[in-house]
Amino acid sequence: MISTLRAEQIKLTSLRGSWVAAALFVFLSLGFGLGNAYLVNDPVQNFTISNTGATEGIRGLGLTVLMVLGAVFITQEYRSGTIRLSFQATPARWRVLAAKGLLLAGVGAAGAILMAAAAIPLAGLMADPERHGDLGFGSAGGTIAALAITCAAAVLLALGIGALVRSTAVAVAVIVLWPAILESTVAHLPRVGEHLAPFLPLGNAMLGITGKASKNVDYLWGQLGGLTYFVGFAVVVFLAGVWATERRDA
Amino acid sequence: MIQIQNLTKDFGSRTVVDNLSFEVRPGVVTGFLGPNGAGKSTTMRMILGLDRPTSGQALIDGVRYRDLPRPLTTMGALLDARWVHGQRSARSHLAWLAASNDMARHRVDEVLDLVGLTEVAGKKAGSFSLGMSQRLGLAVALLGDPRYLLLDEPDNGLDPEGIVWIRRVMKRLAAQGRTVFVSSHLLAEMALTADHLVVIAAGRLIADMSVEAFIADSAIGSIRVRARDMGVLGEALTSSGASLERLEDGLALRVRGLTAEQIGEVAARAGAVVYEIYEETDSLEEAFMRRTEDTLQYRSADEPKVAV
Repeated sequence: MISTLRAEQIKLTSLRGSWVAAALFVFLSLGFGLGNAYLVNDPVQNFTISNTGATEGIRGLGLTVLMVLGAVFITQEYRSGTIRLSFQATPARWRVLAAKGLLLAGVGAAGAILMAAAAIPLAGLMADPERHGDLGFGSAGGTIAALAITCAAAVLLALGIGALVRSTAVAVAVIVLWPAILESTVAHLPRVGEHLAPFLPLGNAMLGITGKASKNVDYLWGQLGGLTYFVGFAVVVFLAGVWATERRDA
Repeated sequence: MIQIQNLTKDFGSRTVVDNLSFEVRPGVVTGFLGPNGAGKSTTMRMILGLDRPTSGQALIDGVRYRDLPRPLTTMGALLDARWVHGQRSARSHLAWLAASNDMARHRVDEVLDLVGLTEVAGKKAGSFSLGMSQRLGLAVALLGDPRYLLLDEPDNGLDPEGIVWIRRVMKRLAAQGRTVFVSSHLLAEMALTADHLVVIAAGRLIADMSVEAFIADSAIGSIRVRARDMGVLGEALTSSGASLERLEDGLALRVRGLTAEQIGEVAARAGAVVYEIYEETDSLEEAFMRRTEDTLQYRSADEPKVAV
């Protein structure tokens, strides 16, 4: 398993695209928090910045970047054909996917922790001290842990999607459109929408991080429930991807 | 030894590999011949565990590929030289493969040197010509210093120098006692490289014998003749009972039914000036066509939907 992990690490770091994604993740994760911190300084309004506001970029577009990276990490292997070499080198295919999952979940969790550790003090510097709400490491432990767990799980989810659809275009479309189109459409379906809304995975992920339910959704559980639900959903999709990969011809 | 046992692969209702059984022995180059779509690549993919057989199995040293520990050190394969990420350097491509099977890092530089890619090792594989990709693919196959080599059309895209080179490499690897199983559509090339032939068509085994036996067994015994007075010679040969085929717009004849000696005698009696009498013993293509034609016709009659 260590050797498969090492192979996946070389694959990840030997592509310029990975570093572009990392730079984008840093930029988006910090950018949104700094933007929020700047906006609360508006003298007319009476806003404050909190830990969840400072880390908004991480759970928003930062998370999307991580998921695209995760999906492409598999689909580009199908596009280029290297997946067959991966399976020649490691015929127990689940190991290849498990190594990808471990590596990228680790990268996602570490990235989330690092970005949160940077975004919170940066927001503190950007916002006027009297506009600081619940901001600072003293109360950020829960938010940071939830972010790390969500980012790790989201990458697993993306790997699962990539392994199932095997196409970069389809996988990226699903990941980008999921929060913007899919979840809001389902939630607004007449009659069934309000019953389905509490079970939408990304809504639960946001509940898990912020502790706040998104508009008009009656969740059956609280913050920890949302987090658990999203992690469970991600693991199920990832395992479905592993199962399909083991069964199908490469 | 590679053992193919009753291997069958269906894609939907189409049978691509049909109850195939043969063995590939060490120490010789075994050529794997068949027309396009015969099932050669699918067979190789099943040996490597990439495609799941519908029935039957492929064994390496008595075990399935997926049960080999560190498989790249037992069997190296080159199925498609384009299986490389274009943005990754040749060295990184080999580095992840080496890491995956716990190989020493210096193996990467050794195989790069072996295939002559040391100077471009840091360049992106996407910038490689097909010939260079083919060399990189061979480097992947040789990375684990394997006892078994599986090569699918390794001469594809190589220049004449490269073809001679890969022929030497394969012969040398076989001489070292390794098992070399190579497919090719360049049949004349195969006659120079392979010692043994496994021939398939429409997924079925057609022949499993030495190259010499294959040619002798399918002997056509044709002789190519070129003369100044082709008309005179042609008539004389026909009246001596030969069957003729005009080649190169009538500048040469393919003669069947007479030996070279008999043709010489006939030409002398007819007073024809002969430039060339050549025994076409190397016509592996013809032997191959003859053998596969029957199977293909049988298949098309059998299952009209199968386009070959």
